[in-house]
Amino acid sequence: MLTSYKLKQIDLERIAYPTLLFILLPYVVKRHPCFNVTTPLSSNVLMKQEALALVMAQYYDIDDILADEELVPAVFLEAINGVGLFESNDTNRVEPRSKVELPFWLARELHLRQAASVSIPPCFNKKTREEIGADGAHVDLRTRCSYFYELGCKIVQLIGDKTIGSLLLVAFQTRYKEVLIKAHTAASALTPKFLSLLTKEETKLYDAAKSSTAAFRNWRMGGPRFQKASVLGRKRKPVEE
Amino acid sequence: MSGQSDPRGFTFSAAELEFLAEDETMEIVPNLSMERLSLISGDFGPFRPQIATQVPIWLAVALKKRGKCTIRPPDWMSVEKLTQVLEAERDSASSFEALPFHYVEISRLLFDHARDDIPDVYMVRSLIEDIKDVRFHKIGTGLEKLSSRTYAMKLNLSAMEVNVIRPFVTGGLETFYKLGNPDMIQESERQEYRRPQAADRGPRRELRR
Repeated sequence: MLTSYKLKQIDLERIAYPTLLFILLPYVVKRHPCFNVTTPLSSNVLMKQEALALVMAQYYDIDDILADEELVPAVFLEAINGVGLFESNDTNRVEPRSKVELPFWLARELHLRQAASVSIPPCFNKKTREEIGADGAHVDLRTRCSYFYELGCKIVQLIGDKTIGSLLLVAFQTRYKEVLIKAHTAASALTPKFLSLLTKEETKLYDAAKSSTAAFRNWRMGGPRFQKASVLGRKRKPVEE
Repeated sequence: MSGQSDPRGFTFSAAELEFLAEDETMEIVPNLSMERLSLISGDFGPFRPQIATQVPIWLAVALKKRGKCTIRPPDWMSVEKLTQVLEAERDSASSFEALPFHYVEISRLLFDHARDDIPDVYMVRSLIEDIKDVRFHKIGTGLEKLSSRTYAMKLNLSAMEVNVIRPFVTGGLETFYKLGNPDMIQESERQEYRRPQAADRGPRRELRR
């Protein structure tokens, strides 16, 4: 107990610079299972703790982690030694201007250090924009990017291309209605085809609506009012003598 | 206060809501003599035969099960009142009639335990079902209007209705908030998306003339 507490203290001391804290923390700390912000800390690290709490809100969010794994196209600006690309030859060196697809969490770190530049992923290209503008409700967003909105938000924050932001809003506005109607009315026969179009975020919304209506329906239809605790039904084991 | 059935404590289960609804009071006519009951939620009684008194629903149901009282259904649970409510619900597309906050749960409790005390029980039951269906339909159409500019909603919804739509509405609003905040889009662009619609409408009207 004591050792793990000390470890946490040291971790906090080590990451002293607030800027570095904000940039690095989710990614450095994400791989630290022993890290826990609720541990009592001395008052001089209280500020850091508050900053941490902001970051930590997303820390255990599995969707946030998975969204970080989405691949984005990036171009290396500098030559980097000691890394290899899967597609290229056997040298462990990346040449400048080589194009690669990196998971977002890596691409962001490289982008922030000006080692690589992230370009807009293909799921936000002109074709998709036009399709969403034409009939947003029936665009298959899941095959393009299963975390369309999450990734979009992250890309906007990184690149600052606000047209993506408005694309996301328009897409969600049109598709939201469809999810609403289908979740509260549709029979289960209809849904599989429709469900395959939804992104992860929309599926979550759909499931939430579906399960709450189903729970209500179950309750109204009746069913056992009292459920026996599993302990009560059990027969006592004969005592061996 | 939060529900125990959901690990994150966001929602109540229907059974939990029913439990909460049992704290509402209603009138019973006891047929036993009993001293005043001093409970945490207040004093109830004294109970004298044929003299009506107010008790919480859980107590009413418990006494009813033992045949110690008859339950007087609340005022709103009469055929005339419910017919009025149903008509009013059907007439207005957006507003909701004032019904008790726990009307869904109370009516189910009474239908289960005190059917013989409710006059025209079948009629009352189908009226309440109809009212509930109409209201849910209205909620569904109302939710279609949800957008990034929705900040608060004030409706006359009952506990059960709110609980059913809660996971969906909070999820939807959260996403709208996230996508609609000024970090993500510029204010000018927001308006641009409205302008084309207005521009489209103009020429069409001229063509019709």
